[in-house]
Amino acid sequence: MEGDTEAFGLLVDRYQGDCVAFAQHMTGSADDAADVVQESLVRAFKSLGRCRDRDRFRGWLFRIVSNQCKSHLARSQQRRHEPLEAVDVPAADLPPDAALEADEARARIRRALDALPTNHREALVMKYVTGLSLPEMSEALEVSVPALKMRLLRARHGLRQLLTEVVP
Amino acid sequence: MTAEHELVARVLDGELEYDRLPPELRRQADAFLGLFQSLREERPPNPVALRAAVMARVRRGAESPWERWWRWVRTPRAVQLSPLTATLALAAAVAAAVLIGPRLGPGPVRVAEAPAPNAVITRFVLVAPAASRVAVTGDFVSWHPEGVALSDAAGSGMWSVDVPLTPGVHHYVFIIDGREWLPDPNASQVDDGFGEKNSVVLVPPRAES
Repeated sequence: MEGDTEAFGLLVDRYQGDCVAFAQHMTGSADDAADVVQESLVRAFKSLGRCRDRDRFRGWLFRIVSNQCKSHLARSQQRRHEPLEAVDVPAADLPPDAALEADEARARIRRALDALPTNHREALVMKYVTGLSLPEMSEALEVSVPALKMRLLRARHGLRQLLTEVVP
Repeated sequence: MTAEHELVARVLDGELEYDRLPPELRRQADAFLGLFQSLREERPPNPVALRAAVMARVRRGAESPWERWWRWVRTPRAVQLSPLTATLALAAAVAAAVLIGPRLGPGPVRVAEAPAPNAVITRFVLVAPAASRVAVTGDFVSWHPEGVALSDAAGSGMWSVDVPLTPGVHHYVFIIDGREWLPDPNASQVDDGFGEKNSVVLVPPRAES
């Protein structure tokens, strides 16, 4: 796989959507997410030789994206919050009131996620938005599965506290 | 706010099938998963330029020194010369052309002067009656812009050349009259990452005699 640009193009096609979704929740900006993911994918290509197990590629790739997000956040100090312009996909199928409620609900969840510690937000987005498995997350975050489960439990608890009226 | 039930936690961790959750606990799991369902639905579209930007950087990183040089010389750049320097450079170029030019014939790419031991002779064929020159270039000649010349000995418009290729997948295109890059109409094609198509040939390992 190393050095094979065509094969790597297929990996880019397959995983860029997940990477961008994750990075956008971490950076709070579509433009920053695209920059972070571009840099991450190029770094991944240069380091493909270190990914010895293809079955673990997604977790390995997310480790790079996660680290790039953290570097970006450290550089920018403070996340920028931009309205997500592409949010009206489900709203198109809903009556106006329901669409408005759905938008408001999503905005509340985003604000609650933003209020969580970075490692909790990272774990929740990785698990429930991009759908990584616990072993993949363990690879990505370099944390044991038991420790990861504890982190997710605390993150869910924290999110529920911020959204008590939505989540029982 | 109620505490998270252990079974709900296992479902949310992905360790227990949702169907095995007692009905009375499903509401708790549903409420939490529903939050993220809305976030998954608002997933942003892929930035259209992202793939192209990544693949351009990846290809540049994978270029051979020859390819880097070729890209460098093709890139327009402003050069400042004094009239004296420009005159001397022009005179030197004319002298070189007069003295050396006639000794040089056309310079086709020479591939595989010593083919790999496992190389398999692969024939490239293109029907192009209107073409005056046809070449094939691909990863096996590091995408050399001159390519390997095809011949049309019978003058029938059917151009062909035999090229020794190592077993595996190779990408290539034909070059018509030195200008037009054309994928093989009779072969599978893949995106080249820049909005164009490359052809693909699978060279099987040579059968042992």
